[in-house]
Amino acid sequence: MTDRTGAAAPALRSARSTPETAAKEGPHGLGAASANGSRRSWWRSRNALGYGFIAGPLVFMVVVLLVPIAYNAWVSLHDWSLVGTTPPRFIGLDNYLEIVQTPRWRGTLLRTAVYVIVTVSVQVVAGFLIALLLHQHFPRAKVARMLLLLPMMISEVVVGNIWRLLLNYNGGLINWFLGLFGIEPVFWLGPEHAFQSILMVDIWQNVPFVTLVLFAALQTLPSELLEAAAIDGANRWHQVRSVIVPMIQPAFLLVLMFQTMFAIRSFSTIWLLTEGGPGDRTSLLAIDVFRAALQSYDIGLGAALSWCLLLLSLGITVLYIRWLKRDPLV
Amino acid sequence: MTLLSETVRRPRFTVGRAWAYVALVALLLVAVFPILWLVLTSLMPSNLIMRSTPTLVFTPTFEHFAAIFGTGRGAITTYLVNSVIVTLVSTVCAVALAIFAAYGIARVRPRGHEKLSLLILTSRMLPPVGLVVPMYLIARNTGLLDTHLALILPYIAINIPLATWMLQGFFMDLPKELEEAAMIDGCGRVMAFVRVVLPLAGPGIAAVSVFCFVLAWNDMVLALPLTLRDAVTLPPFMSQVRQEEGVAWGQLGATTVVVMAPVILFTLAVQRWIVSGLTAGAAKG
Repeated sequence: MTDRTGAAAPALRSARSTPETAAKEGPHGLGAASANGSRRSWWRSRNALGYGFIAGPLVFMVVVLLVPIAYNAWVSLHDWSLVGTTPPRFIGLDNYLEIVQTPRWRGTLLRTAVYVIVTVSVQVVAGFLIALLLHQHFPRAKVARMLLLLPMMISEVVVGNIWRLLLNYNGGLINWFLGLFGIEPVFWLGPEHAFQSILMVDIWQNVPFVTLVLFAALQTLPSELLEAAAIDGANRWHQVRSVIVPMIQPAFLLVLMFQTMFAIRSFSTIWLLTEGGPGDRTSLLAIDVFRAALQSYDIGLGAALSWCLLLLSLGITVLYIRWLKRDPLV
Repeated sequence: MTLLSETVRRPRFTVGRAWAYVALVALLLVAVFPILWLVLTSLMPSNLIMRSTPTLVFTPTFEHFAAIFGTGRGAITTYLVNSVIVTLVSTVCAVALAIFAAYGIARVRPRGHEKLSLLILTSRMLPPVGLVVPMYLIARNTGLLDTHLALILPYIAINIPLATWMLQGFFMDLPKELEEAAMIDGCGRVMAFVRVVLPLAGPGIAAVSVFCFVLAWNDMVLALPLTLRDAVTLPPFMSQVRQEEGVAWGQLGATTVVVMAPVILFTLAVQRWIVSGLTAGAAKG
């Protein structure tokens, strides 16, 4: 009897189990809150077992991840220097005001915004075009696909070193290649071009992920749909715009959110290439967290900068979760 | 039309298709050549590196690898050992903890598991940069600065959410009946978990381990502030080799190859899980 009540109780059931499977789950289905007598202790022990499994990892995560991040917020409210003997002084939101008001830090926010917008839009457009290209039939398509994904598999530090080799002024391969066309060598990591260079490297590394996700989405499209569109006289551009893009829109949203989230926190590649320089030409938020906290020892300001980054990430996460709830797919 | 639709028959060779081939080859070059160049540089005799005219044909030499595994100035042995220790310990701990959490959430489903799931998803999205300042302060005050533990602990904490989220999916995909059959045969829930669920989830656990391994192995964000000398891992070591006249490019290339090789090998091994790993959370609500 209680089993059936359990099956009917929708309270905490996941969207995955239909009433039918729920009934099959039998005594292991979620016990109803209305369970009585001997059933009650069983229900309790089930919860206890679950919490027993979860408690260890959860406590660890809270203590080592969430508590420090909360502590970070506390630090960000202080005038806190690692040099000298002045104790940390509570200054409220002054660090955040300084970030918004000082041209130096405002420049960083602006630069990060430009960086994110440019890299993500180029990645999504280029990734989509490459996915369309790969969607055709090529001999050895699997090998080609795997090779195209290589830049995504190697880590940011490796990418940084690879491009240090290629972008070097003397003897870097890029300058040699341009030389073949009679173009003078360029200081790729000098003041004038450093920002473009890091944009280019970021795009090189991250396009493959967009390609991968969008290609997977393209594979799920029924080919009849495009044939029908073609019969109706749609040219290729129309097929892409009116059929393909709307059909794989969820995949677009997914890559847009993930790429934005990861572009905001870009650090390692840039650090290897320029350390944020020359001057602050390639200083993004994450880079300036290091520069403020560990090079200028202004730990309060560093904490505030990293909280700006955290807030941006949390904002995107909230959007993402809301979208996930509305539309659980892919 | 053939351009976009899935036709079984081989498409005719047209001008459009020729361009498609050109584009594909160009893209392959752009994607692969930089990586290839790194490998070539690591095998190139020093006098040929960074010359104004690059050499593609040369007798490969292992002098740079010999140098970085030797005892001289460019030796990376200490950093490599540090990287291996930190990565392995943190991966094993993170995966073990995540297996418990994921099983608890996905299979036992106690009251409130959905909220827990959401907390884990949110934690997965937190940027590690947010840990730099507090971890540095905490490590400094507890004397953990520049020890392996200072890196192992945050790596475990960062990997738990990702691993839990992925494993949840794997556990949910296993048919519940198997576990129930084991329980009817007299196993307790814990035994059923150990004897039936764990072995079946093996490939999933392997894939998750690779993701945890890669994150810890590649991390520079935390390794840079939390290590000074004794516990320095490979990524922060590489960032110390500054781009000046005296950079031993061959050795830097060889070191980078050492960092890159295991990651590529492992990633290829779990290729089919890449999407779910990187986007963990999109698939299972």
